Amino acid sequence: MSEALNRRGFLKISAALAAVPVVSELTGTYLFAQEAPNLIQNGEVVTGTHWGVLKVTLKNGKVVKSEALSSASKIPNALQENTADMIYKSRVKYPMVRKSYLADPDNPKPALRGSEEFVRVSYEDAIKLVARELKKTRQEKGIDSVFAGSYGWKSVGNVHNSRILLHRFMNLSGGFTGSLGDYSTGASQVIMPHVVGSISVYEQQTSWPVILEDSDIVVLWGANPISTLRISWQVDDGQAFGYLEKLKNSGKKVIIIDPRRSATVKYFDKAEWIAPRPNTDTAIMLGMIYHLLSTNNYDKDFLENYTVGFEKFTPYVLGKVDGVEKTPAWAAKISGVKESVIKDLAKRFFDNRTMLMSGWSLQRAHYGEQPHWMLVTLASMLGQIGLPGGGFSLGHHYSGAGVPSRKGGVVGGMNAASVGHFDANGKFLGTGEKTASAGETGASWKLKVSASSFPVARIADALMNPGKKIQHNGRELTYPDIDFIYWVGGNPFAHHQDTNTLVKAWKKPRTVVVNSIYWTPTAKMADIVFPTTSQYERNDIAMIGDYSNHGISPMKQLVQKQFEAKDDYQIFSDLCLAYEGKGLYNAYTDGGKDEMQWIEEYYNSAYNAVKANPDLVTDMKPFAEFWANNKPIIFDSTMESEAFVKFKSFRDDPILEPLGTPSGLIEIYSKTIEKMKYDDCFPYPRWFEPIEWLGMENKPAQFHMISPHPHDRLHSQQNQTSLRDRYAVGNHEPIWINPKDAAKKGIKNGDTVRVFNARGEALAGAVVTDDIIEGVVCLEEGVWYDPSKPGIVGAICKNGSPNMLTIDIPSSQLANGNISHTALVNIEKFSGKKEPLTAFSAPKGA
Amino acid sequence: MIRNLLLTAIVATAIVAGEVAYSTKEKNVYLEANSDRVVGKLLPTNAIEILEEVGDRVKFKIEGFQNPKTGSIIYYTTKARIFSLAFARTAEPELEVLDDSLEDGWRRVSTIAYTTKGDFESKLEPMMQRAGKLYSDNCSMCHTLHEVNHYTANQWPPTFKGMIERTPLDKDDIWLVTQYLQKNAKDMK
Repeated sequence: MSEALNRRGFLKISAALAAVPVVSELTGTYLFAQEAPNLIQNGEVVTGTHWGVLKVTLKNGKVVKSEALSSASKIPNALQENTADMIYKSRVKYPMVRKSYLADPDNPKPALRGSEEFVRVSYEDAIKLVARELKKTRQEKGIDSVFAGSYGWKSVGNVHNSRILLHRFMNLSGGFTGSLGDYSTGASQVIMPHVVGSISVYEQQTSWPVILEDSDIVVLWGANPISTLRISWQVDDGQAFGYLEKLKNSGKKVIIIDPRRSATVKYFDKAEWIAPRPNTDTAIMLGMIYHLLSTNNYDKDFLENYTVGFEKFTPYVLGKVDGVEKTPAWAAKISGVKESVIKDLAKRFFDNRTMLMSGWSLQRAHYGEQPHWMLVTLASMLGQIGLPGGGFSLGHHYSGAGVPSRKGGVVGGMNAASVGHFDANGKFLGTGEKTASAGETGASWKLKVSASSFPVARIADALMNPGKKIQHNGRELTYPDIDFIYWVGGNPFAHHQDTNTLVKAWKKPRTVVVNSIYWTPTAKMADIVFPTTSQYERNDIAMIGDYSNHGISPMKQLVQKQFEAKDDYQIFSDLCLAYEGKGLYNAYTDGGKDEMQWIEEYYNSAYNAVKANPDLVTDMKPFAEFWANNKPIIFDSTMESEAFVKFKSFRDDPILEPLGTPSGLIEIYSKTIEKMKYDDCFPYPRWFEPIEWLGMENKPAQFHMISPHPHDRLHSQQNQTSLRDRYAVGNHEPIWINPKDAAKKGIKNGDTVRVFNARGEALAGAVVTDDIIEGVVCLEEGVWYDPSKPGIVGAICKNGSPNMLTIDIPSSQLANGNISHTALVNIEKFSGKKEPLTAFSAPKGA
Repeated sequence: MIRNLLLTAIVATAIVAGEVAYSTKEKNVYLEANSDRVVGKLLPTNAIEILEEVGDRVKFKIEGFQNPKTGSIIYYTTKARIFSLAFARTAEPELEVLDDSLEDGWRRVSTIAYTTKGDFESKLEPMMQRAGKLYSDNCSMCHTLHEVNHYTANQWPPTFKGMIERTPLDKDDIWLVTQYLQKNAKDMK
């Protein structure tokens, strides 16, 4: 037993009167004390969450109230109220192994995954089992057979960052296959570097104060910020809502383009609401472009000085390439938006300082690479990019981009380490260049272990088709042969398209391990489940405000760890011990650090930077005082950040501040993409008919289903809370259907309906409303898949997940993004026998 | 005490005239030994030849590639916009043309200028390794670490710049890591 462990053991003994640290005789693993001393039993504790800094009230050691610590606006955020439910409901209590896997891991009958009962095991046995099977898989099938991309939104917190902790373990223990990209901006994050030279979607945007000062028109195109600004990747700063309030009160013209009257449309009650058919935005933009061209109302100087390729794009617009002129009339026929409206909008955008804010729904569709490329082209013709309050933004609806950046400290965080090397006896050698396997340099080894990454939304395709070659952004990738999946902090059975295909694909690997707080549909599809702590059962630290760096939030533990839940950090530390021993363990834990030591180290990154900078006036206290105060530290913005205009530095000096494109300018025509010769992504932005849409001949189903980010969840987080009681209809997810469509189907408000197509079916609760246009239905994503027959392909989802109906094909060969907003469905009133909802209940055996 | 200080100073500089050196961070560039007018920036990881020390400045020579279309900027290569010495638009440095037979208006040039002493190393590899570690330590906190060859040399500067505010990276290290990323980018192999 290492000295570091003994020392900490001693400290825990002296600190915790109750818990006696136990060393497992079987694994030699040190079982950290489960009991945390000195938790507040009665009073208020501050912590940070995806939905803001919260003040949580405890009574007799239980959470009784949860609310924002402070608000920058009157816009409510119901996500902040449900901390108790996030602790007490639907918990995985004990380590579980699926019965046939436990009986014979080498012949585990993966066909039974999801339907077979679980058997409770001891934590030590689960650790030994996972370590053994992971090692065996690597030895027999190679490193790339281990898939640990583990996409998901997890919890905030820089220490207990579950996905990074998994990657850290997988790297140090030898390597793994990861994934590329994400489900939020799958298409745009790949096309935007070609067009404007950087990722665009995850960058700070023109500041709200500038927009409020200088914009005349603000367009929200496929964006729903009243809903989406409730959450952030880091702790939400709540500031953007304040700016939306100011925008509403400013009298500025707000134009919202969305097939539904979203919460944002309702909030901006004086806005113009334009409702196109889903997936037709590129065509609308083309109609506008044609109109500007034909009326000679566009900025030739801007195009000349700041873009390349416009002259190669216009023949397409004018019908010289495919014989079709992309007129406003043409666009009206495709989109359902009137020709006069398209012309009028184009002219008004040109004549006024216009900020085109676009959400990510546009690109979460077939050929999703096109809409934002076309938007940048349109904005280039308007010539206002880089001017205060003008141009375009792909970020104002997300995590507070546009809230002026603060100057202060940034806390450090857990990182994913590097690939570890082992000798022939399995002894851990380290991660450096010198320790690479004989005959390989560190660099080539690193390339080898990472070469198998694939686009995140191709998971089912990869599982089903090992060795298949695909095109991705100009290069060829080969899918690995996945035999081991480890997932933490995510719920692919909520977020991935075409759930039935995923169920089928998921049965291919020999081993599936899931760390989960709750009995999510993904946990139910595992072989081995470790119960993990929620953020409320551990200590951590996080930044407030993804783009604003508004401040630093303490995340103090609220309650004791529930049942046998353990921190991911402990699970992976113990896996290190079981996999190799102290060498790997010490590398992973940096010599046995515990959570408070990491938190203090990360705090001090910020503290030391602030103290060293005489410009910063923030009164940051030493760590012990900060932690005892349990209050967030808030930083101040600067005059520069308040006045930040995106692309201004490029516009002012394109030579010293070029864009990251080959030409240094905006590329309306891309030679790089031209060389790829893709038939689904041309060298300039184009209209492509989606595989399923309302304008097609021989529609496979009647209605276009959109599945936007939910108002009352963070994707699938909080589906299990009592917040659901406010929106569920007949105990199902609500589906919006237009009154005219409902009448034809004999569907009344509140009816249970069956939503179905060739890919699957789900039960939903009808909300008959003219908040959705005819021909379109809306079923929000993030619903916990609840199959009537667990683990069986084709089972109906009793909760109402839209991914029973969505399509699992890539946006195009450029980005291979997910296309969740492209799907046609049928609806009928459900008259069958209703079975009880089991979405939030534990499975058999648990 | 003074002897120790002198020894430290000598060891710290360890860069002598006639030797090749690489700066570890972005440094101000002047056209004269005693001018206060900053005419450009020398970017780290780029080879310069130290000619002589003049007071608290060094006189150096640098070679690289220049194209009249982009003013007086000296680039590391003609293949991508990797700055070696970025002169301001208004600067008028004297450039000696070493080879003007390259395509598209490119020329290989050299120039002589001044910068401050300090922040130089005689070997490139150690600072590149430091840069690599700074990158992997700081850029896997929020998302999966991107392979360095995920982006092109032109894409890396604005991509990296768009992210660094969210990390605890020291401002002094920004250009070091940027150059490291650019020189190991997708199109630089």
